[in-house]
Amino acid sequence: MHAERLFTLKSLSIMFLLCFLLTAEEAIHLVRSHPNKLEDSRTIAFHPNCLPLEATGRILRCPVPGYGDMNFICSKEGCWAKEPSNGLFITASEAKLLDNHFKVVNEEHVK
Amino acid sequence: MIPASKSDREPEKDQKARQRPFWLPTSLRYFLFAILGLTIVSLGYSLVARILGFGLPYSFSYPFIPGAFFSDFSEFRLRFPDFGTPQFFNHIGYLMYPAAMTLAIEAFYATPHPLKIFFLFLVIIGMFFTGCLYHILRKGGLSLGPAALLTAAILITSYPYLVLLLRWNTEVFIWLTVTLGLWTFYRRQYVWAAIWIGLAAALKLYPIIFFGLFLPRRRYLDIALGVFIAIAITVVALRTLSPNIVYAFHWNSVQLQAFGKYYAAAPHNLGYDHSLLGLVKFATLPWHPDLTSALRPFTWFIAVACLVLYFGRIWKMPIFNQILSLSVLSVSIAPVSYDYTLLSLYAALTILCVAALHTSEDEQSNLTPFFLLFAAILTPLNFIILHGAVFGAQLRALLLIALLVMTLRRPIRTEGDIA
Repeated sequence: MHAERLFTLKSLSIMFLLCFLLTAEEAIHLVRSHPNKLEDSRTIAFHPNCLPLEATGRILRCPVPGYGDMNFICSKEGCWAKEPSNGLFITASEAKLLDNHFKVVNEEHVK
Repeated sequence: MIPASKSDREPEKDQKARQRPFWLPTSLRYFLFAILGLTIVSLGYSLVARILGFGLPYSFSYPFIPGAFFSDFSEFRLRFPDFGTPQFFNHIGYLMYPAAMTLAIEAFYATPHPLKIFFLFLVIIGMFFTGCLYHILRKGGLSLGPAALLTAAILITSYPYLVLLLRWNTEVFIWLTVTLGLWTFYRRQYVWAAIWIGLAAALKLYPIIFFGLFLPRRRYLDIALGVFIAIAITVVALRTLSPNIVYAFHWNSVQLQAFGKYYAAAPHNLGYDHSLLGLVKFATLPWHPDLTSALRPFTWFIAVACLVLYFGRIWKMPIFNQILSLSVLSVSIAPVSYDYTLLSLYAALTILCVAALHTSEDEQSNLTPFFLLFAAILTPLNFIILHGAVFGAQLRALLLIALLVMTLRRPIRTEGDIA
C-alpha cells in the first residue's frame, strides 16, 4: 500500500518527464558539441592546449569539445584516449594497442 | 514458491485493484521508480559536473572515447568492400569475431549506404522490442497508461541500449537472436528457440550456454538442431570468406586469439566491462599485474563453477530461474563483457514483468528485490568514480552476482511452468 501512495501515476509521470528532459538535453549537447572529432595533429611533441601529467610527456590532459578535459596517451604517431583505471601507469598491452591503432589510422590515410 | 497464475481464486482486493484506472503491481511501481530515479541521478550528476567544468569522466553519463563513437561498426569500412576476395585478409587490424558474424556485417556493407542502414537497423530493433514489451504488458492486463509509461521508461533509461547506439556494436545481432530464442523457449516453441540460440551461438559462442535450458526437458533433438545450425552457418561463412575453408578457419582463429592477447587480460575499458574477470582486474589494479597467465586457470575455474551450479541447482529450478541464471552467466563469464551485452537480460526482465502481473499483491514483495537489482544493473551508474575513473561496471558485476544468488535461492513459478 505504501508504494501505491508514494508512486502514483502523477509522481511517476513527473519523474519520467524529468528523465526525458535530461536525456534530451544530454543528446542535444552531444550532437552540438561534436566530441567524437579527434584532433589529428596532436602528438607527444606537438600538443597545443594540453597539459603533460608526467615527466615523459606521454600522458596529456587535453580538452574535448563540450565536455572539459580528459587524459590522452600519446606517441610520435598521435594521441588516443588513456585508459583511466590505470591512472598514470601505462601497461604493455596499452602501449601495443596504441601502436596498432595508429597502424590502422595510417592505412586509412593511405587509402 | 511463488504461484504466478491469475485464477478464479484471486483475492477480492486484487480484483478491485486491477479495476483501478492506474493499476500497476507494487513490484513494478518500485521498479519504475528505481529506473527513473537512478537515471535522473546519473544524468543530473553529469549535467552538474559539466556546468562546473569537472571534465571527463564526470561530465558524461556513458562510456566516452573520442573518435570511438560508432566505431565498432564503421571500423570495418575499409575491409568489407573486399569481402570474398584475398585482399579481405590483408588489412591491418583485427576482426575479432566468429566467422558467422562476418555474414551479418557483410549484409549491411553489401548495401549502398551501410552506415546509415546499420544505424536504422539499431533503431528499428530497439523500437521492435519496445513494441513487443508494450504488447506483452497489455496482454497481461495492464491498461494503456501504465503499459505505455512503463515501456517508455524502460526504453529511455536503458543504459545498455544507449551504449549500443553510441558504439554501433554488432551485439545487436546477439540481442536479437538471444531474446527471440529465450522468448520462444518460454512460449514452449522449442524448435524456433533452438534455431535462434543456434544462430546466436554461431555469432558469439557464449550463447551456447542457453542449450542448458533444453537438457532438463530432454529436448535432445532440439539441441542437435541448434548445434547443427551453428556449425552450418559457420561453415557457410568460412566458405564465403574464401574457397579455401581451412585457410579461412585458421585466419579466423588467429583473429579470435588476438582478442585474448590484447583485451582479455588487460584492464582496458574497465569502466564498462562488467565481467567477473573485470572484478579480479579491479582488485589487482594497484599492482598492475600481467594476468595473461591467469586467463586459462580462470576460464577453467569458471567452467567448472558453471557446471556445478548448473547440475547442482539450475537444473531443478523453474523456467524463469533457469532463463535468468543462464542469462546472468552468459553476460558475466567471458573474460571481457562490455555493458551492451546486458541487453541479453531484457528477455528475463520481460518474463519477470509478466510474473508480476500475475502475482497477487500479498506476494509482490518476493519479486521486488529482483526488480531493484535489474533497475541498478540496467541504468548508467556513472557516478561510481574512484581516482578519476568510472567503476560502475564493477558494481554492476557485484549486482549481477547478487541477482544470480537470489535467482538460485528463490524459485519463481510462471505461466511457463504451470502450462
